[in-house]
This record gives sequence, structure tokens and C-alpha cells, in this order.
Amino acid sequence: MWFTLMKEIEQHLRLLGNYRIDCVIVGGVAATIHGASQLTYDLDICYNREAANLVRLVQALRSVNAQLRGAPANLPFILDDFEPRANFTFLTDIGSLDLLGEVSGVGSYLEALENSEVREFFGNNFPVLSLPKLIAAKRAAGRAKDLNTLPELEAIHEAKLQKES
Amino acid sequence: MEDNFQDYSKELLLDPKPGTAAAAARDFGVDLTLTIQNLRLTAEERVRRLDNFIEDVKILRNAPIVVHSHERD
Repeated sequence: MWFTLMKEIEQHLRLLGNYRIDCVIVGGVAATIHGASQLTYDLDICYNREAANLVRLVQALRSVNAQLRGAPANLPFILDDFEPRANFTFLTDIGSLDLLGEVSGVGSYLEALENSEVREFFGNNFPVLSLPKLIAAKRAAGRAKDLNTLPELEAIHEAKLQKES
Repeated sequence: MEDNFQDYSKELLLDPKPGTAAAAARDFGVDLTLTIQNLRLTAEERVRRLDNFIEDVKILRNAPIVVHSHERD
């Protein structure tokens, strides 16, 4: 397969780029992109729930045999699965991928998109949730793992603001 | 859009003044030298670095136990 020599996050980003998935990078990978040194083990994206994007997303997920984490094995993900809920955690041939219909403290895909900055990775452009909104999202999520990342993100934000002023 | 390390106050992170977010982060246990090291990289390099860590952790987790600690005594 084309991605066998690449690593997990890179492979997922290339997959999303190749299938032209409308999404915003959020969560721990967004924190890494902003410079945080703390580790994360999966890619979280907030995705556009418009029909055309969902069709592309299903194609992308099926190409890497995505299975809902905790669901029975060999149960393919289908378009109808998007109907009853918006948040999904997948295990794919590549690794872990989390899809969010909404981001705590930010809102839906469109609100996340409005509060993002475009970065180029691996030949594709991706919106990444802005640092101030990422801080708001982590604070709103309120889980220990989110709160633990706040001091470093706030320090990076402060260092950037200080330089700007 | 790409970050430039010059866009950040390196001094603030290296020598945090009391009452700043940098000081709070340092007191929380964040190693700000690692943060500075990350800020020197491009965004793509940061993702690659994270990926390398994930890969290394997987290798370490799957490493076989060759000798049990009690067998060494």
C-alpha cells in the first residue's frame, strides 16, 4: 500500500487530503502543530456534515478498513451510520482516528473553520483550530488530559502575543 | 501559513517572569525548553516528530521481556 512506510498521523492526514475531506484539525495534534510538546496518540478532526463530504468520508474510511472502536469486528462503516450521531472513534489500518461533529467551546465544523488557520502538511492544506480557540476547547472539555495541556498552550500563546506587541 | 520562531518571545519562555503564563507552565511541570525546541520546527516537522514518538512507543510496548527482574537477582 502507498502509505506503509509512513507514520500514523502523516498517513491519516494524507488520506484526508487525498479524499478531499472538509475538516479542521483539533485536539492534541492541533496542540502539537501549535508547538506543544505533550504527546497524543490519535488524530481528532471536526468534519463537515454536508452530504457530499460524508460520502467522501465513508469512502476514505472504508479504504483503510475503519472500524468503530468497541464495535463488533468486520462491521463496515456505512453512510447511514452518520445519521444518529456525530462523534465517532475509529481504529483503522493506520491507527486511531476520531471524528467530531462539534468541538466543545467552539461549535460545529463551520465555527471551527472560521476560527482556524490553514497550514500545509504533506502536500495538502488543512485548517487547524487557532491557538486561542484550542485553549477555549480544552478548557470547555474539562477532562484532566485537556486541562493538563492548558499551561503549555497558554504559555505559547502568551509568548506569541508578547512578540506581537 | 507557517510559524516562524521569531514570532515568539523566546526570552519569556526561557526566563519566565513571575505572574506570567510561562511561569505558571514551568511551575506546573512543563519543560519549556522542549516547547522552545518544538517552536523552532516547522508545523510539518512537529507532526513528524510526534509520529516518530508514537512509533517508538509502539516498539517499546511490544518489546519482548527477555529477563524478568527477579531472575536477575
